[in-house]
Amino acid sequence: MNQDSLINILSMGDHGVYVWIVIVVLFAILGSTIILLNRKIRQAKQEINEEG
Amino acid sequence: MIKKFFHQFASPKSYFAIANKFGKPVLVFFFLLYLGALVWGLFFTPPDAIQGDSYRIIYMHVPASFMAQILFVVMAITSAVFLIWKLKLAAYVSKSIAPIGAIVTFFALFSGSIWGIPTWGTWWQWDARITSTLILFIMYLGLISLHASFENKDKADKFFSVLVLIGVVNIPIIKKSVDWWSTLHQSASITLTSKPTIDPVMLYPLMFSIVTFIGLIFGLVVLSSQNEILKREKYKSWVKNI
Repeated sequence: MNQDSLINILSMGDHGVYVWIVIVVLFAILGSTIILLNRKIRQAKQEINEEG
Repeated sequence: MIKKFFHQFASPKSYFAIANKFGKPVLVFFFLLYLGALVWGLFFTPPDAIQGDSYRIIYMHVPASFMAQILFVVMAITSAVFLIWKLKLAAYVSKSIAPIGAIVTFFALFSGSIWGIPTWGTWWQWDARITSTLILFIMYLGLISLHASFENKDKADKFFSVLVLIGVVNIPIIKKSVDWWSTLHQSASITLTSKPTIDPVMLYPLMFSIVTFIGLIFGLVVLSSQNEILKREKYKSWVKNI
């Protein structure tokens, strides 16, 4: 695969920008949700251990 | 024996132990599979004859829209279980679905709006499908606010569950909105009763993305329910031993 065909795939034609916006927002949402939930669970466990 | 099995599994303690062991590996597994589905759909399928490459948003928008509705139905089932059999775990799971449902519905609306710009020439239209999905999003937010507004969480669970059972009537409205009213949103390409109107080369990665996204979102629900159990059961003796 040469550089031109890679760029062609990644740019996805004229409307590629819309697709990439959706991808970025999806992973931002998924990533932040997973991080937030993990942090909340860790905090809750820590609080329980401190109180116990 | 079956009753004993369900009774055991339905206790927050047993559920938490299973979720703690398998929740994260399942989440990571489906996350990687969904990533694979996206790569397949985004880079290894041809562009659409009319929409060009913008159609590739389908691999994110359709799974999210599907899950936005499925999560509400699951929430209605767990709410009914809580109201009928008074299972605390059902109320915890129901409550923990709401924020995930709100996030997924927001993403469904967002991705649909972005897709609308190149295909419809507008990011928003007050048509039946989009409006009923917006109502779904507002219902999720309303349920979260309702639960948070009660000091007495047992009372909150009851009101929450009743409201979910009333709100679930919106799901068939969303589903049938494209058939009952004239909408800008297209009708379903995949139904149980007829042949899909989408080419197999695009259909297979779409089906794969839907299945893996279901697994990914249920992984998030398990994580969210673990957090809810810890919050609600923090004074129980079993929680102190985890």
